[in-house]
Amino acid sequence: MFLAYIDPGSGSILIQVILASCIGGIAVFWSRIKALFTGRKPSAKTPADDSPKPE
Amino acid sequence: MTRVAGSFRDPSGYVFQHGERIFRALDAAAADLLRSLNVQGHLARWAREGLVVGTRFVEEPALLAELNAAHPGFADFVEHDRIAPITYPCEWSVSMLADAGRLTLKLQRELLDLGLSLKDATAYNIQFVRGKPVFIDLTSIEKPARLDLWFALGQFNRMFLYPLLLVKRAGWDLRSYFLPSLDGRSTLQVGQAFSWRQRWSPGLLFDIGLPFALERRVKAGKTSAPRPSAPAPGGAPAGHPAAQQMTLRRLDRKIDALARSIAPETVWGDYTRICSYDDEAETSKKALVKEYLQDARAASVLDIGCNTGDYSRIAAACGASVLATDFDIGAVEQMYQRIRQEPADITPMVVDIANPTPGIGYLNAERPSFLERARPDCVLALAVIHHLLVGANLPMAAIRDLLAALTRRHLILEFVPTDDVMFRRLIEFRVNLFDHVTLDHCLDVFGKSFRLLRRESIRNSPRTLLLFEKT
Repeated sequence: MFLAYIDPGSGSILIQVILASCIGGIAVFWSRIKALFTGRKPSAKTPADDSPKPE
Repeated sequence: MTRVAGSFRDPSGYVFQHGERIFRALDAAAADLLRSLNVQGHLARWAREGLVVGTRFVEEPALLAELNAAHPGFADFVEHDRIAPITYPCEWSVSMLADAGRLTLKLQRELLDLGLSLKDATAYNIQFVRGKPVFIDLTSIEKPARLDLWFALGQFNRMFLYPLLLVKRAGWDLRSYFLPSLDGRSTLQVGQAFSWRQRWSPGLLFDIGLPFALERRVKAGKTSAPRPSAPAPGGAPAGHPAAQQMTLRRLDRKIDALARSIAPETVWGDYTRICSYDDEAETSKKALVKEYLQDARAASVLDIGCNTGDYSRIAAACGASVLATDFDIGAVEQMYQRIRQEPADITPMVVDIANPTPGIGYLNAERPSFLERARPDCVLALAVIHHLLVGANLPMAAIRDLLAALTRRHLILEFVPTDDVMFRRLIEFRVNLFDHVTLDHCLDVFGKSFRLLRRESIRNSPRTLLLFEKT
């Protein structure tokens, strides 16, 4: 196991896993809907507007 | 070279003091990461924006050789701007804790944009400089295994969100929350402070209700959480940061709203409006305090019982770095909010001077006591002597010893006689106990440790202002 020298708190990790999968699911679903209208192939990842903005 | 007592948990480096300067030793991985942040200009930009403490790589060959000899086995060394005095979360006001938490979130969001992360989120990584929070623990920055999860989120909640929730909804205070436990309180403990109906209410569901229920399942062996793992060698971190970004933004809004909604409940908050001074007395006292401070020429001043910080501001205007303390949480809160609006070299702290913060953590030395951290050139003790005599039941000699232990040189003491209206208010039911408390008695007792330099009565008031030098 990689070093984690703090207690991550299992509840906090699990809630993040749940949120991440919900948001990932919604993002994939949304990109499919968008693909229906634009006719483009849906990307496997979450949409680009969620990606980090350069500042 | 003395290693800073609290710097030992993270194996990737540690902080030490060399002369008056502060250095950090870095192992190879930490050095690589910080070097690249330095080359890209992020370190300098964050320091400029007040996000992280000013940090420079040690390049001077002679110094580098000296540090390498004294601290073998490290790849690199950085020097940090010196921060004094050091304060701890058990001494902060609610807004100070909230601002420290929001700074942590801001840094984590910036790091996430760079594909990096904080590996811990303890409130001890934040210090206050001129009343503004700043992040000090640069070896907390790491290249994470995953960007969708933040493994330090649980610690962030324990250090920032839970104490604010408990202050707001269960009447806790930060001292009782932080003092017995360096890592805050667990989800299971905090969850028990609320009924199941509260835990499942919309305000607590994501931060306490669900984590509490999930943690109980993990404890019962019904489910297990993913563990932090090493990033694939050379590869990019797994997962998309969108979910984490959303959580960080939500927490930022929540902590901001919590801090705003916790009304400062204060005993002396209205003191500057209801206190016994008329305008002339106040003007006279302010002018005298300023003169005494100029006589003392102190580089650092400790203001005891600072209330909302009027006299701390005078000391700061005289060029001193001021540590402003009061036992009243509401007063410190108001003072901090004022410093936020009108910056000054003042560090506010909630401290009961009759029961100051003890040394806590490993060997009782990891986080040193208040008396070890506060070493001022001058102590400002205005309108506190009657509180120490009556409220804390300290004899005059004990007050003298306390103030002599605190100051390195000067003491500005306001003597409050028993016929003063504020003194009378405190001793309503115990008048006879304090008949011996006169100015002569005070001068006699303090004369054992101090030399009297100046003595003036405050106009339109029964009080006397005294300037002492420690002998």
